[in-house]
Amino acid sequence: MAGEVVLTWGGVLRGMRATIPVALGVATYGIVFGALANQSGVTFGENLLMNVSVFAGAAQTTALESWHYPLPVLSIVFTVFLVNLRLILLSVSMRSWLEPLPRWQVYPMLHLLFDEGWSVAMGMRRRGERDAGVFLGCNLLVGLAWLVTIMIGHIVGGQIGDPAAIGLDFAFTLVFAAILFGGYRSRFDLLPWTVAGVVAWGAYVLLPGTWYVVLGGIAGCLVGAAGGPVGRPESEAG
Amino acid sequence: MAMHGSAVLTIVLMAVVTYALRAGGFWLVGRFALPPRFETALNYLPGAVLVSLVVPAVIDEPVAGIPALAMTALGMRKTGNLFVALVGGVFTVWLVRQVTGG
Repeated sequence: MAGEVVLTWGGVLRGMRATIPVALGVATYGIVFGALANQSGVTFGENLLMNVSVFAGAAQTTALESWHYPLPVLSIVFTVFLVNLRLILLSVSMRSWLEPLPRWQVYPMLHLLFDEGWSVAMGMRRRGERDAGVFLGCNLLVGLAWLVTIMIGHIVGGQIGDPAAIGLDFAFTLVFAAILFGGYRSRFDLLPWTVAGVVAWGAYVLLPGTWYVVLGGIAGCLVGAAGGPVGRPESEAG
Repeated sequence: MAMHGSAVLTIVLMAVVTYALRAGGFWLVGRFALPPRFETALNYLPGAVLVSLVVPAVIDEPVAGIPALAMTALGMRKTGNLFVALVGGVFTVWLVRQVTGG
């Protein structure tokens, strides 16, 4: 890979164009998330702030699950940390691409690092793309779709009524399940998943708050680390 | 644009933690070589967290939850599309509740 790394608007546009189908999927999910945020008692301003500053769908969804006053601040933040820990791996993977760029370009860009945009960008890189603008464009379009549709969902969501009536109260769980199933790699995955599930089950029955996520997550990790193939770099289930 | 103090605090902390992870990998990899076992553990973290999030909701309502999970798994397997899988799962929950009156 002798090609020099550049950052151009042309690259940004190419990235955005390639991301359109993915952005449509994100957009539909954004509407649902916006509505659920509203139902969970998040105000419009809080939702806007969260989407601009956090910008991580799965983590925001877990936060909403425990969004009851008084807010369990520590447990929410720690769960967000656990759910987003995967981002550190995506971030690591960007080193080889963004390394030559000045840091004032790299670090703001990394704020937009998002699973869907990242995956499209990496696919284009595998086909020879070197323009860092592509990475920016992919993530930018996902970010815009996410932000706009969430705010629409927030406004419309107040009129949706009882989400349980159409099964939407289960949407959180099923999003996680779908991401989980989509990340299935090998039969060995079933071992840490089962251990995580059993521990989470016990903790859910015995402990308050969302500590079942923390304990189940750590338990599954330990089992995976003990028995899994060592140091596999490619990995994201969520 | 009403905002609660504790909500803003929570959101700011969420944002700090998330950005630290987004920027941290890029930053760290130039400085340390992580032990391979630690990387292996990280590989299993998202899946384990996702399982943990799913299990209690299914325990609370297994009659709708288990078929909905099966439908979501099928949707992911056939289409690989998150939204399609989600719609199938939610529809299953709705259907089961209609049938059982739950």
